[in-house]
Amino acid sequence: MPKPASRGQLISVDTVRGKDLVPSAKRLLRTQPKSHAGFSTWDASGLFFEMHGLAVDDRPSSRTLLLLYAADLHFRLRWDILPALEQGHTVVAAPYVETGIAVGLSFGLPRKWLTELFRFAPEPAASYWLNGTPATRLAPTAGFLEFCNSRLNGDLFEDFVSHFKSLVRRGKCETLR
Amino acid sequence: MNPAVKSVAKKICEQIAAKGRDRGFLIAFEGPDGSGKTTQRKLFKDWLVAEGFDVVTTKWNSSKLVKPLVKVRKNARSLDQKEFCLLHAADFRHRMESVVLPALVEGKTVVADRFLFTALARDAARGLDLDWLLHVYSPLYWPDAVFYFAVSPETSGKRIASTRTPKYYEAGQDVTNIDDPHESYQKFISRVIREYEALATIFNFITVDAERPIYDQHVQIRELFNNLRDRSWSEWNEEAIADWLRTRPSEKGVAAGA
Repeated sequence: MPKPASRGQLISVDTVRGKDLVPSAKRLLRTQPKSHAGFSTWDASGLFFEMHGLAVDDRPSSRTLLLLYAADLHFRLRWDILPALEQGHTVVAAPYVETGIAVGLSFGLPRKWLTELFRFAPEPAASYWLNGTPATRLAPTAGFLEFCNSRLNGDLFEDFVSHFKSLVRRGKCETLR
Repeated sequence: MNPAVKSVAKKICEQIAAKGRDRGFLIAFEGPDGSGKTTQRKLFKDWLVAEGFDVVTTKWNSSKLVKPLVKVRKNARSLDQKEFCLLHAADFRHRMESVVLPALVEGKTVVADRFLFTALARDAARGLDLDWLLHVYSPLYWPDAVFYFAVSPETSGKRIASTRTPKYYEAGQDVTNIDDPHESYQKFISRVIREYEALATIFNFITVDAERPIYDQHVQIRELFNNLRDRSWSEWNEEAIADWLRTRPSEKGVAAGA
């Protein structure tokens, strides 16, 4: 991952339940010393929301969904994250790259393909993980995990959680309490 | 990889290979806009059908799921180079998994009006790294033949200008910063053709002189197709078949490899 060439600070937070993303991003922001701070959340580009609204029976594969996640993340970097970092602000990206990697690995996609896919995304200065109970009966547009579960008839929860627990064990990410 | 998926993929590949010249073929038609490849693709498809082949056609950026998402963003001119690439890659992947690979496995011949190489040529012309592009589009399924319709940038520009004004992304205005679409197209298509020519060498395209009369080109394509039917099926494609089996959505969970 490239280091962000800017004065600001990028913080990532990933979580099981999509509906926890905004509250956890706000909580993190309150702990930051800088006054100019903001957050960037999933599907800012509207890709998934629009796809959800299409009257099309076709279901995408996990690889197709990951390509769309990468497109959305690139959009967020271009419009939400990088401009704020360049102005010296703190940005909380919720979710960020690791959600894409965790979902991809859960579906058996190769790690090398996933890391190359997200090569464009800068490394965060700090990464957090918020555990929780998996969402039940939540709208597929609540978060990427919910969207994938609904589209692929899968249950990613356990593999998703164990990916982040492994990151915490290896010191790559901290648990958000 | 799950051994069960690997074993199923191997069996499917053996069945395809065993059919020899009676298997389903994947034939890609590539070339710049205005090269006449769509005309040739239609003539070729009609001929295949008349010869008794079961034919499926797939066109660039035509997935029911992704095309509407791309279209609205192209109209709004809101895509940058990487988003343009990733959305087209998603469209391509979805068509590969829902149209191309199922048809090939059923023994149908697939005629692709533009294939992977369109993305490689256009995205590389937009300044993206070819190595990253190949990763994004992997695993790759190699066509049995790629017919590349070669025209000069001038011919492509003249043919397009005689029928329409090129659209914003088609003219490459997102990267040339030239206001006039025709002028921008001329500059952009020169870059795209350079990339195509490099790809033609690397990936062994069959180059068709697209400035020759239409019927002459068609006859040449028929002959080339008849000759290539004796080539054996590429075992390189086994990985793409296995990946498709593993990652496609199924009714009760995600494929066999999940």
